[in-house]
Amino acid sequence: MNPEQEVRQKKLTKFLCQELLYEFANGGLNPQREKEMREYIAGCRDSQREFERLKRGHAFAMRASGVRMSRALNEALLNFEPQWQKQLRGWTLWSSQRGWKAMPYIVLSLTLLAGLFVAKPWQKSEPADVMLAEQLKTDTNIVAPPTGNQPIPVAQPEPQVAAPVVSANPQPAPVMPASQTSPTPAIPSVVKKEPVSEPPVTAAAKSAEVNANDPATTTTAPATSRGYIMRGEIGVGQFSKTWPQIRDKIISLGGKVAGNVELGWLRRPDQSYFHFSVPETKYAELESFLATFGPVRFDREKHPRVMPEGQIRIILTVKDTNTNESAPETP
Amino acid sequence: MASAHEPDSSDAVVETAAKYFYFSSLSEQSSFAASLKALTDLKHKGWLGPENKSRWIQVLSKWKPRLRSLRSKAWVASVKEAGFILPPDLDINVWMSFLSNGEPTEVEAVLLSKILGFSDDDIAEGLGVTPGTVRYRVGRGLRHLGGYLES
Repeated sequence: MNPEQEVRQKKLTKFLCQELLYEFANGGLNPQREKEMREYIAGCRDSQREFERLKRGHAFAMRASGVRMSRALNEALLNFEPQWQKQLRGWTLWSSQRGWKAMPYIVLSLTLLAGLFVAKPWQKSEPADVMLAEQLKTDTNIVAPPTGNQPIPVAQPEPQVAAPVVSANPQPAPVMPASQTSPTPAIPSVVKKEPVSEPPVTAAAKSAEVNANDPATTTTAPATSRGYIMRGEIGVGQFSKTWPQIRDKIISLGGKVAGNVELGWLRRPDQSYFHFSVPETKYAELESFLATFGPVRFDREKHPRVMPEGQIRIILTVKDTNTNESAPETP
Repeated sequence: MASAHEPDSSDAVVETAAKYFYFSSLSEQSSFAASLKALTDLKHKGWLGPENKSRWIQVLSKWKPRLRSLRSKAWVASVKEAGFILPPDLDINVWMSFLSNGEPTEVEAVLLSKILGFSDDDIAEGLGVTPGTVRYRVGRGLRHLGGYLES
């Protein structure tokens, strides 16, 4: 309902006049009320002031309506797209254009990732040079403790020594890093008897056993089917000069002390004792070198100790031929 | 007294929303964020056409209370210049005083009716009041706005 209609019958007051100012300014009043308003405003200063305010406010609103949006804002609002939609659209466009070309690379990458996930190479330690310990193959000298799983080691007939440094596959077995070796290292003579898994040294012995059965191997080197030791003896005329030469030769061939005594230990003034290990390939050269001093003879003896593959253990006694006394061979 | 212009173009709703929120906050960034929200709302409801002006007002009024808390991260990237171009003879401080001290219903009525050019019937339908109430609010609002111009 028009406010003017509501107050048609009412007498025009200052309050009513001011409330009808907006209708009066818009021409929304009937002619009679408009005439009354005009007459009232002419005689009322407050109404005149309110009417001026109304006109100023309206003029300001008209100016404010002239505010315009910038083109950038208009385009930003019209073309606005959330960031995730932009990324999705970009990816869709990329995949439609180059996705098939990238498919082989994606498949290859996924395959590599799957391989890495299955193999888990980061869980394997890097191969390192380790000292393979000599180990008794027979467990006749091992006495199982009454309680517990660890066998009790007993006295060994031979001193425990370390074999030369060779590269081997590291396994959780009684191996020792090269940096921790000593001239007479304490080799674990304890053999844990496990029917399923064998220590790597035993595996190496088995490998040597396989090589011994190969005819080609047996023709070039002494048989390595079981644990053995080469025991030899040579008599020399100039004992004091010869045994140091033999010692130096053994060292130059890569020989390493394999007993508790030093290489060329003078067990007696006229006997020098060499207990060492040497690469199998140097054996022939050593033998020919010794032959230059006199007849030399090596006998192969069974020995419970198994050497790493490619290594042989030799006990050589150099005797002065000027004396005929004999002595026990092993210290 | 006639309205300044009629937002009847295809992008009238965009300009209407932007100006409504700008004059309600005088913050371009807030008005940008609120406009995006309101326009998205209108788009989802299918009310972008000029035949839905009263519904524009409903949606704009719904987002107005949340205007201060809205900030769009896309504002700086999207708009690198002034978002609104003011007429040279317009003292925006007057509107700021009116916005801060005036009666909110009167401010909104003046904004919708005189600045954005909505008809009284659309405003009445959008706000859920009678057209007489709209005219009453606009009249009082204009008088108060004129009062700020005197000072």
